[in-house]
Amino acid sequence: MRIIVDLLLVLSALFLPWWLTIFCACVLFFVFERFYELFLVALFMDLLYGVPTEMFAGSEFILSILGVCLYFLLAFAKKRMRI
Amino acid sequence: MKMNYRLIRSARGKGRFTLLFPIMCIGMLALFHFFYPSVLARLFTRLAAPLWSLEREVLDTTHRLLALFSSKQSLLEDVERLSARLEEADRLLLDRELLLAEHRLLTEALGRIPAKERRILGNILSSPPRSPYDTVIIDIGERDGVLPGDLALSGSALIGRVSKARSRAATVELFSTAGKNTSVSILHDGQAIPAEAVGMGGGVFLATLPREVAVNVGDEIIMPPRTLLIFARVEAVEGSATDSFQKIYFKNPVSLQSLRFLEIKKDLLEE
Repeated sequence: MRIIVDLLLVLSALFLPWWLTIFCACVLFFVFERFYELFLVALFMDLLYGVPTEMFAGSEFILSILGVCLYFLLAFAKKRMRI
Repeated sequence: MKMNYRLIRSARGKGRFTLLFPIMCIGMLALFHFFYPSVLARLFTRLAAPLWSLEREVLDTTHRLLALFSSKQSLLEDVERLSARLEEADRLLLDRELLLAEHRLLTEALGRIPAKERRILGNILSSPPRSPYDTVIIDIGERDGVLPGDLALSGSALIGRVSKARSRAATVELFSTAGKNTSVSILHDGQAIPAEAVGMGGGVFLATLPREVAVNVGDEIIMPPRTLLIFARVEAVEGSATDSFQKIYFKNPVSLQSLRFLEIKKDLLEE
């Protein structure tokens, strides 16, 4: 089941707007245990689309950083929600 | 007496592992990327390119099939509408050749012989809003002579610059990428007003100029010294009488969503 979901998440990174993919990953975080795919898919998108961005001090891993932040934030929320 | 003990999970140990694994993963990936900066990106692009091409094929086939079911009346209306637009475009382009010849003569008179340009046509594989970076991926790369720094155009409209070139694909960074600064000139009443365009994403730019500078909606913007290529067109001018500065919003004349191809050419005028 999880492999199919991972595959769909990769396909969504290729064909859907980036924010929708991140949103789906966030929802899936509450469905599966330790959903590391959240930042892995963010890293995948960074490697695929990323270019050094002036606004973020020339970094090309903005989504990965966002993914890591979201991971810890959602892990904290999940623990409090007893899911 | 038999006793049942409540199973207590070691939350502390689990929490530590939960933290440790992602940190290790990120560390390893960061190290790998540091030593081999383009390996993963090249691999993912190579895997994604056929899927994007397949998507294009599927969409084209679907459109062709749907066209079979469209009514004759709507087709006739489309033909009429497009013919009218074509006639109007032809009328607007009447002086183009004359202006080009005049430009060539003037450039030669000034001792600057325009170099022959070669454009390479590339299919758009992926465009915003898929990418969070306002980038476009095209299906031509180093093998076709595309190099980082080359200009990406659609006809006479400047779109962006090649940021990364892989063997069979390239990433084009749009000039409108959020926070990206580009030096431009606003053409107004025969004057070229220098300005700094700040990208806002989605083909939109913002420039701030003193209120006294006259700029109108519809004024064209170029990226000097590339005077034959259009950068954007002024869409709105904001600022009240009490403000010292006015905000000028301009937009690329070409909508990326409607594009299928991009042309790549060497930037011979790069400063």
